[in-house]
Amino acid sequence: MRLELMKELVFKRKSSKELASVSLTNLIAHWKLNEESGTRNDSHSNNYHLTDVNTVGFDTGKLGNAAAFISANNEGLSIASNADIQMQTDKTFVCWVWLDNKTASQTFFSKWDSGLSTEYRFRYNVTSDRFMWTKGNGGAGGTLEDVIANTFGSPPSTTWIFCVCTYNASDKKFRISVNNGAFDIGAETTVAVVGGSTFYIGRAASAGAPLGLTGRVDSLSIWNRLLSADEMTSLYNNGSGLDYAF
Amino acid sequence: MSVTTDNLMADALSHIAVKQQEFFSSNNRYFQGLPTHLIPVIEATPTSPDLITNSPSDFNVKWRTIFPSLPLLLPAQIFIDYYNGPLGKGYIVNLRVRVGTDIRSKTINVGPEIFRAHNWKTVNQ
Repeated sequence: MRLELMKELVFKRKSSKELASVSLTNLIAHWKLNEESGTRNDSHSNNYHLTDVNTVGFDTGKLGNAAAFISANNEGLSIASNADIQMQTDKTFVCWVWLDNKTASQTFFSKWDSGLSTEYRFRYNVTSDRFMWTKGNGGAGGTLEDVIANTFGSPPSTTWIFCVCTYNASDKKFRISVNNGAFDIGAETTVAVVGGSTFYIGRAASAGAPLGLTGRVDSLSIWNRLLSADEMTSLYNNGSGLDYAF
Repeated sequence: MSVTTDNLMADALSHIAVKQQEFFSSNNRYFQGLPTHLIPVIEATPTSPDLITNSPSDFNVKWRTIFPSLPLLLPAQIFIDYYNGPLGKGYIVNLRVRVGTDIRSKTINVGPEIFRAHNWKTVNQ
């Protein structure tokens, strides 16, 4: 019995060694979203704890619990705007998402207030039946671009899906990858908008039109750098995910 | 901008503030209210709320239960968000009115997250 256990441990250690390590360098925040109510804590070092707006629930997640949202209740998790979550440098957002249904467009995370500043938004769009990573225009009438996850295609509901959204400060482009597939790449090369909108998970800040999520979000991380392909593969971990601190 | 609405809302906001403190004392949280109207009210045209019997699916308390003295005609679409964060608990009163083809919005924060307050601004749909 003990020998079997030893063999299993050795096997597990070998399996995890096959994954490249994921550096915590320039990791801004990681929210495990294991809490059942109230404040959701930042597991990393910056104390970017999230405020619970309108009583976000919880449900089974990809790794432990996940935050569970009901759109009709305008539920969201939020933090005030700050330099780390603005598009001032290279940026990578990584998360697991779950749609309860596909009957409406729904926001997974955003920094998007139609009366203040529209900066970025990751959502499911019901018209195209695709995930969209949207580069905002600040609400100033400039170019707004939806980068559509066509490579992945129609996302299934009631399934955990791994998403990576990036902003490359060198070429100024937004990119999106789903389930560790190839990136869909935007064409727009204007500098990303930096504004003061509140960052939300599960909805947008826009009062009265938050395009909220009915579904779940789990293990959301933000880096102020672009991750390598190996790091993304490790975080995807063949669909099993990799818990913080990776 | 929307000074008229501010004047018309003054009594209602005072009433909301008093009742929210009472509600908090009893429940250790603030009341959350979904939008009172389906469409924002035309500015300076107080309108009967058509959605005032709605309540969040996980919080079955209705507007009239908490605010029985709220006017029958409201000068703005109102909804209240309740928050619970690292700095403490609070609530936001959101007001929306229509002015021509524009929709204008104002948020009044009561609680520690002062960044949530905004004066009247035009919002795109």
